[in-house]
Amino acid sequence: MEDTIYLASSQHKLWSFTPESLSSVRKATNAAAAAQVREAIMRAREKKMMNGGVVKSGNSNGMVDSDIGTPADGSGNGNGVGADGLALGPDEKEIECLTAEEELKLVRYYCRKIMDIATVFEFPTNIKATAPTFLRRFFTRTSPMTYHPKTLLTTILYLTTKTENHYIHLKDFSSKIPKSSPEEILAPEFVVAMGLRWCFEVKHPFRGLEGAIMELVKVSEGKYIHPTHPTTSDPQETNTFNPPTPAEWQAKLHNLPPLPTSPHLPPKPRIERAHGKARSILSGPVLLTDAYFLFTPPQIYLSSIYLVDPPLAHFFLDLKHPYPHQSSLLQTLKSIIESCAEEVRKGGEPGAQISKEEMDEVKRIDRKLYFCRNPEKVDLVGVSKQAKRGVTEDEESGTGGNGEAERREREVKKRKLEREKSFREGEELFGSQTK
Amino acid sequence: MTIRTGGIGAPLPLGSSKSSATAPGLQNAFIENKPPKAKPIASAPPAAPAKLGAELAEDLNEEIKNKYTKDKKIGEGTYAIVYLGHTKTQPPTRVAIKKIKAQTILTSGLSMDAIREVKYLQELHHPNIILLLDVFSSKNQNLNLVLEFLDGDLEMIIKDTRGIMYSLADMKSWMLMALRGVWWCHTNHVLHRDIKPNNLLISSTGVLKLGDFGLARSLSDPYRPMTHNVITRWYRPPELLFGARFYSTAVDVWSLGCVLAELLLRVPFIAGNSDVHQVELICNVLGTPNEENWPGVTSLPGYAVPSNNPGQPPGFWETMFGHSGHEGVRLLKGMMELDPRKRVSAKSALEDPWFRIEPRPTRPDKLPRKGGTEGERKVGEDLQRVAGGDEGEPGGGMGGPRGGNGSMAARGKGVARKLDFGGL
Repeated sequence: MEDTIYLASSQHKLWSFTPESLSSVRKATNAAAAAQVREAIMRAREKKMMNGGVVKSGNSNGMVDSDIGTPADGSGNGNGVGADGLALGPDEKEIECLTAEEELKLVRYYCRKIMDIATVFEFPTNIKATAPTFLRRFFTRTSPMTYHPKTLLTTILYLTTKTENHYIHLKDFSSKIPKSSPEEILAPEFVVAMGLRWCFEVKHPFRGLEGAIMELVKVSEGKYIHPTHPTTSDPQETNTFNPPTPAEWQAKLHNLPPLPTSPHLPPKPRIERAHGKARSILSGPVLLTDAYFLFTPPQIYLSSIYLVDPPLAHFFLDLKHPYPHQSSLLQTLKSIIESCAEEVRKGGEPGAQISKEEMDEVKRIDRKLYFCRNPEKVDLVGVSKQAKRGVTEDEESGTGGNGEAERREREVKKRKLEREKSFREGEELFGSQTK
Repeated sequence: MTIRTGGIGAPLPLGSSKSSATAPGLQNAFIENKPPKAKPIASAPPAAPAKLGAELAEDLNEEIKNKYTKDKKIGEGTYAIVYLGHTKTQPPTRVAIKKIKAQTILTSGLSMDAIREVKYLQELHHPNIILLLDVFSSKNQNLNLVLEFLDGDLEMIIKDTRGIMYSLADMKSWMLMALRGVWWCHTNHVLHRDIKPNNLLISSTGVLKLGDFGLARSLSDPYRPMTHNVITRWYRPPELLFGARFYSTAVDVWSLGCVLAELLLRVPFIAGNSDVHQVELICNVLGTPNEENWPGVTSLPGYAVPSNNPGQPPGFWETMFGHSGHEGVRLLKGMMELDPRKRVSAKSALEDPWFRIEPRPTRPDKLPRKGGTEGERKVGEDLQRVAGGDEGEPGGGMGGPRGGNGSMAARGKGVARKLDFGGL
């Protein structure tokens, strides 16, 4: 039954991959975005040429480049900020786009960030875990060159509070994020929701872990009764094979090989130790990896136990599959758990800070991204307003008149500067934790 | 026919989620509307996901939007407009398109109602749950839900005392289908939290489907409180009236019990005009909850009861509901146990002998129903909701701010007021 439910879930249907299919989706996303970025930058350059704008090169501090340009400001670039990618003539420089690997590293960094912000808010685990999952899902089929992950962090987190039934008023949410405005948080909400294909359910491994731990505790108390197994292929077997008794399971648990790293622990403290450590793996490192894309929630929680106490994880699998006919299934499961553990290991140690190498690499990628962002998707507030009004740029210039256009342009510029400032301040608040 | 006929006799076969396949027509629509490229499951050939990767979400959105035509508006409220529409396929399938208006004032972006509805309907595929075919955003950033078109609901049928006669077998059939839908929610750890006759929708082939998931939520983790301010008052169980913050699937079972009673009586069974009155009426019928009949009840935060009332004598139930048979009365009482821990589950209700003894439940396509233009109008009304409140608004206290408009309660009241019992 659980399997059937999982197979019908959007997590399985839309967001499950083999390593190969995941990597090919990412490559395709990257290639398509790169093509679009090149076209958009060319369009913007042409427009600039037509307007005869002379543009100075802006600052290139990679970490504060929250705005490079705005969709409609091809002509109004006199303030020297932004539009770097556009500063060169069409023949001057080939636009160098991010690779899929670079994109992934960037996304991983922002998964950390979004969890940091969730921690500041003291949000419950399910939000802390869903937000980075949304981020990863979104950027599987959308490139950071199209939308910079940084500009979507608060949007995704706020959306997560709603999907996880932890409603907090937008004003209160935005007031805790320095200088962010409700408008900015909401502007890309539809973009995010669309990118998530309007699927908001994330199936996490946490409850599964709790269940396994409860059952292990039962075993340690000698109270575990094996449920009659309905799926045996051989009806004879059910009659002839008796699974171990509760006392036998208890003894097996007691006699598990000790962990090399820890002193010999009696079963109960050992289970508690595994519980705590597995939980911290699930609520941190796992979310920096592709585990949710490649494995199911039970595989993930089992691998988290496996990482902290391999004999205990194997014991649990044996406990659940005691019949002889299940032995090949059991072997398969054990090897899946191992490959899942392999993936989870990539998330690093729980609570570990980002390494200097990783940080430097992220900074490099972000600087590179500064020159290959899709200029048409930078001013998200503007894009969203435009979408809301349902007018295209062309229509507007046709009917809106000059006064209106200028006023808007001024507004856009003002907002842009404000946002830049606020982001710098935001970086100070949240950046201190990871840098 | 839509529900396998074997299914009607034996209560559980829909459990197998193989049967999450729906009515034949709808299933086709479902398949047509979800092209395979939207499902790059792990085993899919690399070519399929590669194509998907190349699509911008915006393009996909356009593609989805272009699959449907809106025909006419069939209802409008403050927060949503419902259109009758059809697919551009041959032959076309009728659909309901519920457009949730972008809120302009006091906006928190996508409303919780909309998010809940989308979230759960995306996951719950079952013949007795309304089918969400697609979601798209239209150019003004309005959210559009494409739902299967259902042209009636149980409230219309119950209230039409002059036009529609129905039998015990019919009632069994409706209850069976409703219980299956609820059971499927519960199996998926989802609480519906707004079960009442006008959320039990009826398809043109007579199949009953649970609709309106705007108040639904997943079961909370242990020790995480939930709001008690849900479920329209007349269908609200005593634990919620007493302000319980930790509750379970039993809340939906109580509501369905009220629906069963209403089917039998053709008027709402326990229809209080305030929460206090509602408690009073429940006590009148079932007796005042106390530590004896419901251990722990006195420590619920909102526990307040009128003076000790013994409730109705056993004969009351037989008198009121005897026409459902002895088993029917027993099931009803089981669903309306005061103590939620003693209340039957949706699963055990489905297994109740009542459904297996004569008269057997009617096949859905043989059920009495009401349709036509009135159905359309009614569906328009039902599908659009007043924006719901949220966990965390007054009475919620999920760490969110106070001072909202108590909209969950307001919503319930609004609906209750809308009902007209003068003619009954």
